[in-house]
Amino acid sequence: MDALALPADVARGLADLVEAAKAALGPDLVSVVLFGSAAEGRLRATSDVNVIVLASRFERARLDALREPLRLARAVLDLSVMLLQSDEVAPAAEAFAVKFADIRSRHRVLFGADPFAALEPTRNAMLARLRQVLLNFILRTRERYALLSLREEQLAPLVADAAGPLRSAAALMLTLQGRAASSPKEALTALAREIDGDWSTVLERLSQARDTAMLPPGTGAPTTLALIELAQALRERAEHLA
Amino acid sequence: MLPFSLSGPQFLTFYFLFALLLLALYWLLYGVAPAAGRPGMKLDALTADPYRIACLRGGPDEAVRLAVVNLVDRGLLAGAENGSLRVTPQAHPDIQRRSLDRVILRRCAAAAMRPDAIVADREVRTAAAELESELQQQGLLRSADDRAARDRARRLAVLVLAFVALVRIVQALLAGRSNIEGLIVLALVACGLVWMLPRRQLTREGQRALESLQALLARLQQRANRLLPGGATNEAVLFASVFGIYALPAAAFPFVEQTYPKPKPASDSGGSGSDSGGSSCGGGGGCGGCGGGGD
Repeated sequence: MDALALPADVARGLADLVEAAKAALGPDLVSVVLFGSAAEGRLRATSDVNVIVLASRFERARLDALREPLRLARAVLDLSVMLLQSDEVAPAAEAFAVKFADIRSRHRVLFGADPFAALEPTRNAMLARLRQVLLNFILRTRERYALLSLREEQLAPLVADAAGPLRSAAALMLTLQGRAASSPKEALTALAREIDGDWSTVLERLSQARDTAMLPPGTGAPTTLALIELAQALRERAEHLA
Repeated sequence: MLPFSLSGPQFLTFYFLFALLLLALYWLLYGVAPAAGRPGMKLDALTADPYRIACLRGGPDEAVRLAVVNLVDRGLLAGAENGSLRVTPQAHPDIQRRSLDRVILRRCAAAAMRPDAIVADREVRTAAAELESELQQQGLLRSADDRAARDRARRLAVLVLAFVALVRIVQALLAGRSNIEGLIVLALVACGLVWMLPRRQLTREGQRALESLQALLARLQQRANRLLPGGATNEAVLFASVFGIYALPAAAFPFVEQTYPKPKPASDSGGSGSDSGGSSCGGGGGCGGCGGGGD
């Protein structure tokens, strides 16, 4: 975990979580996997910490024993945890192809074997999920814009939240095109360059909102609407992928 | 006989050093020596029960205030007339994990209670005192015996300082000297300093545990303005246990100040020797504005 360049309190919290998972789940615990920005060593103060706890099964007594450590880890680390059973890995990777493509590209095993090493969702599943994620993003962001934008300060978190799905979708799209990017952020930048218009300011604001949870006055609404347009352009490309 | 055969300035120097010696002795006896009890309650034993943390930080009354705020947040207590709190239909005392929750809900099920009356309630205080007792057994809080011993030592030190000064003053007056103002001032300052020695209930272990908890929740503190009410997670109660109920964002948790109005800054009560260091507004007697309720 030292090689991850995590803040000391986060590294300690994760180590405590691993120990708690081992104690609670015993022989049923298969692995504990860190994914997302923390796995890249790019954790920000506003980032949550994403972890998958993989077990052969979750018996009630063992799951109950994990409740208190998980609640504490959520408070201490801003932890988002996925409690995954071994037989659910492949179906979950098919059903949530964009998320799992991101997990596959950005994860660190904290305990046990790497459950995603040999995982390869079908191209059809990835395509279907990519389109779904982008469409869902467009609909949800449009709705949130309508409900929130009269209070401009509410738009910065909305813009910040857009980074995850848009970047993951871009990374998956590049993968489906047989191309590579060093990170999901780079993937989105690369694809935006290929789409008509100048998206550099929008992408800068996206990063700014994610880093600081704030945006300059007057920029929240245009940025939100531009992100919807960017997602529409990406979706159009996704529709033409075979 | 020394020191009473010393000259005036020499005696003042002696008296000053004597007062320092007493302060150092007190510090050695009670400042360095660990409190009685088994030291080292594990941090997760504290984080598993935020009421314990609140008790450690601010005493049993603070634990009760946190419990009441937490129950309101979870929708198990709600406002009734005159600022009282009553149980809601979804509140079932017997299924609560913590005895303090069970007792508060039972008492409020019997009759709506005002928030300050809950803090003063005998049964509730008994339940909260159990938390204090656990913390004392773990060496995180000083026991009543320990505190009494410290009070006795403090009183004895003040008596000795006053006695020595008094003997010298009488000696000076009998000798026809009247330049005793310096000694009187020095004696008053020394006695005052000894009297105002910290009376904190927290032991060093307890202080360390609190500091560790503050460090542990530093990231939570950074995102405190994003805490959500409703009790779906234990983040709010854990945060409030370490940083105080008034540290919860007022916009999301407006009921905190409605339930227990924030005490005004105590600029006119310095040196009262308050023990807790928490957001205490006095046990039992309310805190002035507590009756205001939910207006």
